[in-house]
Amino acid sequence: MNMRSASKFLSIAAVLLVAQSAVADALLKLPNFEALANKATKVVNITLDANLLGLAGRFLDSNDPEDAAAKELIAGLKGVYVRSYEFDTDFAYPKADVDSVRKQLGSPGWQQLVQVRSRKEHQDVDVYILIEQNRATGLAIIASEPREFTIINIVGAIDLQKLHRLEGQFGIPKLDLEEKKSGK
Amino acid sequence: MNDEFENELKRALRPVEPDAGFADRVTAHIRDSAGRGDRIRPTVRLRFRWLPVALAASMALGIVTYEWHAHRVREGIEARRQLIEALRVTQEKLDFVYQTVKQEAHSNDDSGV
Repeated sequence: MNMRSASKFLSIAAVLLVAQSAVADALLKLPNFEALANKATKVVNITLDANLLGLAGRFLDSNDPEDAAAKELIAGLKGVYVRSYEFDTDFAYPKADVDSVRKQLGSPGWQQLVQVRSRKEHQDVDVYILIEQNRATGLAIIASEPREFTIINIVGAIDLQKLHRLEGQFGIPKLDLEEKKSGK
Repeated sequence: MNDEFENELKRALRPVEPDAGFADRVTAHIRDSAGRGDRIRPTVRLRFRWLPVALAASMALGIVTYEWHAHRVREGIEARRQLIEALRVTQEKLDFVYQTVKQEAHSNDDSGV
């Protein structure tokens, strides 16, 4: 290998390493909640890496509006991870595990987008976004209630506009706060 | 008339000794036929010997391909279901945030803040 091809190889390796580290930053280390499965009344445990997202994309029907929206959204994604547990008693889950995920979001690049502390609903929700080169490359949502917690980690180029456009789909009702207010 | 016909028949069917070399000719003929058979049979056997192996291999390949395809389809359908579920949960949480923030903003507007 001559000097020119060696430097070319090193440049490519450096670019790949940077790309890999960007993915690693957006990918949170989620604690193992397997032990909670027996105590929980409802469990949602989803791990979709780039390979499975690609496979899921092939099974989305472009003629179906819901599927088409999902297909468009996952185009730039590298992973979707969801851990959601519901219990029939208060604080049956170790809060420290949820806090350990929150702690990871203090690392550089992650920005807190919204923090909601609802006394009425007894629900705390934190939305974090990872910004790299003015682009959102990661999203994390941590929601906790006395009987439920949800951790969502989306890795990859996220178009928040597209995510917002999904409103009214997947069984989520469209918000009608404006209409309610004008109708008063 | 009948006696004459009977005598003629008897004469025609009387045992006759074969001419010299008949036995040799028959033996030679049998040997030739057997020799030809020996030459053909291995050739045919060799030519079609791969057929059962090929059929078995094709069937095995077909079964493996079908199983792999069916597995990928099952995996794909499950991945799609999980994706839709993940997006539903995400939307639910974002909706809650959006609703709470909006309500907060409206209550501030109403109180003249």
